Amino acid sequence: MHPSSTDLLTEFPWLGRLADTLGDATITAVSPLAGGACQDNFRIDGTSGGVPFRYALRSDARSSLPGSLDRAAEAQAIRAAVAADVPTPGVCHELADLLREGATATVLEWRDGVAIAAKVLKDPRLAAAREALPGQLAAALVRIHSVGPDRALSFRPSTPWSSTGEDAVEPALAFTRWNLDTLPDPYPSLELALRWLSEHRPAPRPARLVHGDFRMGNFLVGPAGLTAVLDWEFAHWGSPAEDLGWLCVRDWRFGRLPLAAGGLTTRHAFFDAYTAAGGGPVDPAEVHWWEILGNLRWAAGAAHQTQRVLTGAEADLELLVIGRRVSEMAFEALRLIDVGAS
Amino acid sequence: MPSTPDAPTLLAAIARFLAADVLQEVQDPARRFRLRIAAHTLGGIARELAVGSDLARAELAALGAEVPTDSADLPTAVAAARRAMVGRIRDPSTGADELGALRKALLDIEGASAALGQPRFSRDLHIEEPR
Repeated sequence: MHPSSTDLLTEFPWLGRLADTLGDATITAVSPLAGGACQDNFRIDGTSGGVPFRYALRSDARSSLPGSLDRAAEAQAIRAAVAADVPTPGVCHELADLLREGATATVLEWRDGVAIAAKVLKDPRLAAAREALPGQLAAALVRIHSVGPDRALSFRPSTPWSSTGEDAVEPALAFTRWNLDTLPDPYPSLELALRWLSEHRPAPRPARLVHGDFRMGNFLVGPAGLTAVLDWEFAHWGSPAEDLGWLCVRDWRFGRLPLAAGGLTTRHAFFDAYTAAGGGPVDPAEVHWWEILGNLRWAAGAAHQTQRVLTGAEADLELLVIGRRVSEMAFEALRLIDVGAS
Repeated sequence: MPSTPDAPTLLAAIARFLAADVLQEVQDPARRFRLRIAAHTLGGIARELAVGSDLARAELAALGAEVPTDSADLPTAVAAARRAMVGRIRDPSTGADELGALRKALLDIEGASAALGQPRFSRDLHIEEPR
């Protein structure tokens, strides 16, 4: 019922309640996990009834980005994904007010693998995984997009860019408008790209479950390829093309610029894999639109991350300096408009 | 040859010291990551101090704004020019030709600005493998 070490309890006073929730559990190790700018993540090791266990614990952070789900809403998205056979760690428990008042924590199944994108893209031991990943990711994405609002009635996020109707474009534009308007500084390049987007809208599509952050860094990878899709904090109802465009955003290629789909393969090879997995034909011009919007979203997100520190909500060096990268995404949005859909 | 190093030279040297000497002594992955960020940021600030004024003048020209004679006035002038240009872009009467010319000019500015932070940032327009 209790953690084995008083040292652990001193450092993590919430462990007693967690051990109770996990049953007859002794918690032997708590390891903070890297990543997740809007959550506090830990690996939890212990035993229950003499059987060793390992879980991931994910709690709301003190502040988050606009559009980010809290853990309770995220758990609903994960359940919908698990029901559709998406490879992702399932939710075992939800605990309100665990790490701090008002912060929900979820206990997730543990999956082994590497998530650090640079390692996934460059480690020689993962060469076979890189060959397999495009097809595996395309298949996972098709399963995510197989979920419609009628199949996941409990997932109704209040985030402004979620739309269960036919038009995912208008909420996405309105949310981007809001994202720019709530920044203290004006950005002409982002404004110019947003005007182009509003004048070149793709046709409406029925809403599907959208992961919302389907990119390198959120894929857990082992020697044989994908072991899990992680991080559902930006899940919402929207256009499947949004996930395809987001995967191609330049920043997720980690130096492998010629390979637009996450530094793994070309855009069109990935679109073909998506179609082959049953995802239907892909309109490159529609994905191009969402890729430009993705760059705007990431540019505004980076500026908002810096604001979290400047307003005193967080004190992290990485968050503070990331706003200095807005020009990279601004350049890319304008470049994509200039070269057009390929 | 100046007798004292200027600020960009000093910052660049500190960045190299952190990335080369101090990083070797740090084992904790999270602290190593933050140390790399700190060194990288210092390098960017050094480049910004060295050529940032030129970039600010180029941005003012791209935005069609007057360039102040005193470098100390550049940040205020850039902020005002950006605000004015955002209003112009949001104005529905601003035509496609003007917006197209502005896009070309801002591509250069954003590319140069991105390269200050990331010297290896590619400003090529065609970076992807063809179909």
